This record gives sequence, C-alpha cells and structure tokens, in this order.
Amino acid sequence: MADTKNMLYVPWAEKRKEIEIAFDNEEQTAKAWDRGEDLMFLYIMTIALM
Amino acid sequence: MEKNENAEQLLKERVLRLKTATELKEPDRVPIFFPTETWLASYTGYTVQEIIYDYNKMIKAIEKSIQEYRWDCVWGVGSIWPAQIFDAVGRLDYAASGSAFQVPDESYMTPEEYPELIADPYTFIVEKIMPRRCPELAKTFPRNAIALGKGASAFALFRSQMGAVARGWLQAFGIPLLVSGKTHPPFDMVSYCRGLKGLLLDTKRHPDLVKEACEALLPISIKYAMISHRVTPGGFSTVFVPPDAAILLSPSSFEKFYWPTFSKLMEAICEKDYNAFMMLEGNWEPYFDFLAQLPKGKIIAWMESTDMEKAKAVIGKTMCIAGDIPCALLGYGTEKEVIQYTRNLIDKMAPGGGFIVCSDKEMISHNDAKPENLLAVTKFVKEYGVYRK
Amino acid sequence: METDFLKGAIADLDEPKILQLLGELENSESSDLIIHDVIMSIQEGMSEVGNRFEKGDYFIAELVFAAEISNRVMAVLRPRIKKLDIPKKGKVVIGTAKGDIHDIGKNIVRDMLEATGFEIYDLGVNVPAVKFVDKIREVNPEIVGISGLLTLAIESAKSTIEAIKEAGLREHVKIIIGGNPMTKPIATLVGADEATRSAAEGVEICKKWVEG
Repeated sequence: MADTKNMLYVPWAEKRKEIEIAFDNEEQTAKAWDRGEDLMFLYIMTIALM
Repeated sequence: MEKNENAEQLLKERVLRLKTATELKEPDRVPIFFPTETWLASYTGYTVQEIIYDYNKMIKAIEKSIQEYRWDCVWGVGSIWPAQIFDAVGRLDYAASGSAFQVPDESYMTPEEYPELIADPYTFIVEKIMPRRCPELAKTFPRNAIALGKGASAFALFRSQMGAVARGWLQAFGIPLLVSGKTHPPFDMVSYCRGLKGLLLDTKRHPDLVKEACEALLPISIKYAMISHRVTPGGFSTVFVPPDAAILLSPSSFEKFYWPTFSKLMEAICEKDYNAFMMLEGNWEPYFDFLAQLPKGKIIAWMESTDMEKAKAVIGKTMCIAGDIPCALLGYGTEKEVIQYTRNLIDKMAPGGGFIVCSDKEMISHNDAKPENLLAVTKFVKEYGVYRK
Repeated sequence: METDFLKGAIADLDEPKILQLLGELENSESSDLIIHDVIMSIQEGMSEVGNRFEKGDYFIAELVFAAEISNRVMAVLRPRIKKLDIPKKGKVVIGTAKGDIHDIGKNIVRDMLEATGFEIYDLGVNVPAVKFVDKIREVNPEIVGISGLLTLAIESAKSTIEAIKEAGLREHVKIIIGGNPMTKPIATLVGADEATRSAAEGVEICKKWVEG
C-alpha cells in the first residue's frame, strides 16, 4: 500500500537533500515549502480525476 | 443579507435535529432538505451557463432558496463548480454540457500502466492522468504552468469565497451546510483513470491488477476526505461519498473489488468522528449485508432507487436513511400527489427516527421540481413530520 | 466446430474459450451453413446473457463484457456475414438525448442488438431532435431508441418525439426510451411506445416488435 508521505509532490525531506543552505528555523522552512500543498492536492483531485 | 431574527435559535434546532436523526434516534421532527443543483438556475431565471461563470449569481440563487423554503440545511454548491477552474486547464466538458456536471467516460490509461499506477499513484495521476485529461497541461512550459496557475488561483478564490459565504449563512440564516468535504471510493478513482467501461472489463481480464490499484489509491481517497472536510463549530456537516460504480458490479464482484477499500475508507472517515453522506444511486438491495457492517450512527444513506422500507428493515439500525420523493413526481405531479407520497413515506420511515426527507435525486434541471410542489411538501413535513411523544 | 459450445461460452462470458472457437472458425474453410449456425449460437448466447441479467445473476459489468465480446466476434464475422447476405431483423436508430452524454447503457443495447441481427445506426450522445429526424428519413428504421440517464433527458425525449411527429414520421416507427428515469408513465408522458430501465429488456422489446 502506498505511503501517504509520497503524496507531497516533492516532499521537504527530498528537497532538503538538494539544498545546502543552513536555515535558522528548519521546521518553519519545511512548513513553508509544503504550504499550498493541500490546496494543490484538492485542485488536482478535482481536475485530474472528476 | 438580512439576518433572520432568531438565526441562533434556528441553528441550534436544525443542528440538533440533523444530529439526532443521523444518530438513529427520533428528533423533534423529521428533517427536510432538497439537494438543489443546476435546478437553481431556472428557479432564479438564470441560465446554467450564467451561474457556472458568474458565481455571485450562483450564491444569490442558493440564498433565494434558503429564504423561501427554510429547510433544515443547505445542500451547498454540490457539483456546481465555477467553470473557470476547468476551463483554465482545457477541460471544456463542463461548460460544453451546459446542463449539468457530466463527465464523459474516457480511459486515460492502458491496462499495461497499472503497475506504474500501483507503485506511486499520486505521481502517476499528476504526471500521466492529469495532462491527458487536461489538454492545456500537456502543452509546453510556460503555457501549461500558467494554465495550472490560473486554474488553481480560481480554485483558491472559490474555496475562500465559499468558506466565508457558508459561515455567513450560518450566522444570518441559522442554516448549516450539509456537505463540507468529499471524496471518491478507491474503485471509483480507478474508474476516473481507466474509464468506467475499461475498468469493468479489467475486473474480468485483470482482476488482480484492479484489486491492487484500489489498495494503492486508498490512502489518496482517505486524504481527499480529510483535507477537504471542514468541521464548523456549532454546525453539522458531512463528507460526501458517492459510491457510483458499485451497483454495476454483481455482489460477488462487489465483495472482491469494491468493498475492501470502500469499507476501509468509511471506517477512516468515521474514526475521525466525521459524518458521511453517501449518495446511493441505483438499487442497493443486493449490497445491504455489506452496508450493515459500516460504522453505526454516523452515516446518512441517500436512497435513489432502493426500496425505502426494505432499507429501513435491514440497514436502518446502522445508518440514517434519506429520500426518496421522486423528482418525476415533484416535477410533473400535482400537489395532492406529492403530499400523498410524502405522507406514506413518513408513515413508513419516520417511526424510530433515523430518517430524513429529501428528493430521490439531485435537482439538476427545470423539470426536477415545481417550486409550488416544494413549498407544499415542505409545509406538510414541518407539520406531519413532528414526532409526538 | 461445435456451435453449442459457442452458445454456452457466450452465455458464460468465457472470453478465452470464445476466442479459441473463433480462431478455429477463421482457420477453417467453413461452409455458409456453419456461419449461419455460428450466428444463431451467438444470438442465443446473448439472449441467455439477457436472461441472466433479468434474473439478477448478471449485472451491468457482465453486460459491458458481453457487448465487448460480441464486438470482437462481430468484427471477425462481419465480412463473412456480408457475403452471406443474411437478412437483418430490422433497423434501429439509437442515440442519447440532447443534454445527456451518458452512453454505457446505450452502447450495451446497441452491441447486443447488433449481435441479435439488427442493423444499428448510432447517433452518439447529446443528440438534437433534428439529427434523429434526419437519420429516420434517411434510413427508414423500424425502431428508434432514445437513451438518457438524467431527468433532463425526459424533456429532450419529448421534444425529439414531437419533432418526429411534426416530420410526419411518427406512424412509421416504434419508439422506445431507455435509462434510469425512463418508466412506463414517462413513456406515456413523452409519447413513446415503450420504456425500459434494463438494457436486456430493451433488446427483448425490439425483438418482439420485429418478430411479432
């Protein structure tokens, strides 16, 4: 069964490997990266599937 | 928008009424509502295209019905989306229909692609299904990116607008929004990728792949429900679940292909203490034994062609039953005929509670109900539907 | 080749078996009589499929599969049938009413009717009245089928039948409406001869109309 984490299109964990910047607040940055993810998920469900 | 005098009191009563019925008990009276969709256009003198392109007209139409009929909840926008969210990405099927939200049955994948879908369903949907279904997204950058951006912006505006509007209705009219979240059972999600006809053939030719595909889509189906649903404090709302493809399957195929992931989805929704509103089109009698296993007291089952009495007997102890005044009667019958049908319905279904009155189908066209018939039946239910202790 | 096996295989929707039997047929130098028997077997097999649907053993998924199988079989047999010049049972013009784009039920009926020996003219979906009228004038069918899943199809069917009347063609055809909202009272309302909510029943009604 697919892991729900895979549903974030490019999860922060993966993105983090690409970026070599040190952030002051890692948690805040991770959240900001995922912002809009839920909306895009809902929108994609609407236009891709229905 | 003028506030109804006793909006707060009305809201409390309506929410309690709906909750009690959903919990399979007797409220003060039988709740009533009608699932108005594109019917609202002719009701307000607009065309369907007007309300799908100018959302303020859509909202006006709903508000007119709220004020006129004063049902126990408002259906909401149902499947009437703003056309822009589809137009932007090149999906013109919604606008072209001009009558109701209808999606042509097309396959966007081959059976050979099942392993890819199963391995990573969201990626497969985004990279393969989405651009095949939405022609603008198949074009090259930057055209496709801008198309997605335009569509998503329209979608975001729509959601924030409707959120505020629904809260406004709650405060001004004391009316809760019946449907807040939605999802599709995994089998239906596979049908949107493979086409319904294609998927039905696959159940014969590639049964194992179909089963695996449903399991792969289960987390997405659950996530859709969780993300889309908003619980409003002081309100009553449900997650809309239309198990559309189920009745095309024999009970043994249903058990094999549909039920495992469908039941897990419903359990996930109810475990979160959400309520679900299942739109059961067609005749569900062959699947009663399955429905009876779903979580108790949390689900409203909207019946279209199922025998209401039989439903009450077998699944009435599991779920609240809603229905089933025929749109054919509301649209073509006399007031007398409509009242007679409703009287019969209440006599059969109301005792013991767990019953909500509504039409058998979504109201999508002008001939689905005469406004006078709706008025008459609403007035009747508010008197005859009272539970006398 | 055992045509009884073919009838049974079609009724059981045993696709591998059917393809195997078809393969044998293609490879053999079958006489016209054999082809005739094959066609009868297919018709009887499809009739049995319809029976099982009416009995509640088969559901729409089985009908869709049956239609698909019959398409494959007809594709193989069509050239041979043409040569034989087997008389058709009748002509049917079929389409989904204006405003409605659903076609799974219509397609099942279309394919089953063709397997049963009718000549089908499928107008597709969202068909305006004028297209029905034009086709009826052109091919002179015995039967017209108007399909619809949504209630708006009721009004479309009504306008279509009125247009057929106005064109002076109503007396020449039998009209059947099919789909979820199409009940007998609705048939009366729109001016159709029959209504059905079952694809299999629709096929039986058409057969009765031409066979008497």
